[in-house]
Amino acid sequence: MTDDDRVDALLRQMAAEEYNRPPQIVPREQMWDVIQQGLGTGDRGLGHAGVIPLSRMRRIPRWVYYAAAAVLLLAVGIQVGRQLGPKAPQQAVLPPQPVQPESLGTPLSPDSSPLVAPRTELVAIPRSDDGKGAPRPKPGPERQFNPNLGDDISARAYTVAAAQHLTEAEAMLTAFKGDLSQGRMDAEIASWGKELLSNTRLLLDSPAARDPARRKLLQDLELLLVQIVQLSPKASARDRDLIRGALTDDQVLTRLRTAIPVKGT
Amino acid sequence: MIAAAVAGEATAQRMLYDQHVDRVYRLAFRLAGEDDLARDFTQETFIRAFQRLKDFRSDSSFGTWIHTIATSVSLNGLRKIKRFRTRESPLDEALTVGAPARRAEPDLKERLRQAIDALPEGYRTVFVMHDMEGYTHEEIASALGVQPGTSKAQLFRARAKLREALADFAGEWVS
Repeated sequence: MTDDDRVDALLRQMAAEEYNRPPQIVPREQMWDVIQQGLGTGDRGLGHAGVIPLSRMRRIPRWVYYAAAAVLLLAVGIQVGRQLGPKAPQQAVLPPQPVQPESLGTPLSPDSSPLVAPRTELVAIPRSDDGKGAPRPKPGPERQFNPNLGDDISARAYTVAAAQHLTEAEAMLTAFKGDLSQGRMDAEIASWGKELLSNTRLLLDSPAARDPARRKLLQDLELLLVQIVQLSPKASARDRDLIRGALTDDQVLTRLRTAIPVKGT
Repeated sequence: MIAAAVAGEATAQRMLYDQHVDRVYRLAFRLAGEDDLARDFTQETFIRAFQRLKDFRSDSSFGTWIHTIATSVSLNGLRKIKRFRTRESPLDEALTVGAPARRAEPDLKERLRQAIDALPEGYRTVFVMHDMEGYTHEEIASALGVQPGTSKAQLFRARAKLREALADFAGEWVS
């Protein structure tokens, strides 16, 4: 046996043990249920427990959706406030000057050395109106020196809100896909679609849609949701085929899955 | 059984499914690396297989035929996902391309994983099927629509690439 053979054998063994090792238990029943639905021969009862889309949905607790909606609303509110509200005048930062402790009462003589070392931060803090009291509790100096801090927080909030929204949209579309293959339309899914449509439109009008790829995804999602929301329970097979075509051709579901950040990253 | 399955008999379909699902799922998982995708690929494979069962000619085994569908579904699915991930990769990720930062040396397992992931698709598929899942060159050739000689050549090159990628560990193994 040559060195290469030995290395190959070790690599083979290690790869078999470590590389994308499948779980011991194959989810046979769950996959079978979905296959049956795909073939149109599955159990058409409501709330079939073994279906993957529903199990996927169950992984995301309901409160996450409410939290996501709250974050989204908050972020939109902040942004609207920033756009419409009066702009705060930029405070000029004065050069460092020695500060004399006024609270001591007796002014120091001009030639005496200051008791407190000069500090830029102290100069930047505005004093009370009467000139005697303690400084007003105004924003700290770091706010004045970091005008983009608010934008960063806002951008992060939008990213989080967009990710949550896309996760929810993915769950909804997966559930809807299951319904579609069975030829039925759950009323709960329709109302869920309406909620998602409003949030999608809000996101499209927000800085979250500045990223061209995300914008395109949101636009496609909006179009798809409009079709889903307008789909009546008595819709014809042709209407259903159109939506199925939109789901497949635009690959919205696959794109949503790839756009959703992996947990832990 | 095939005839009964073609006729839409659920019991026959289920028996065919039970016979082959484990191997199909394992292969899909090895190629995809995640449960959700492996499930999607496995489901898609069987749905397609049952829908096209009437086109199945019994001059090859059902197992070979379903593995042809499974590899096609998995590889096409992975290509689509890869395209999207490449297109939507964030800027900071893009900036690191071509200028890898010098980080702490990952351990052998991680290096092996990276090396297998970096193999060209054909090499990786043959390596996964033959060396990890125990398919014969004939089975691989049928599934991928190539000659058995091509499968052997690709496996040979895949192993050579892996040895090269992990050359700095080879001294420890051989000794």
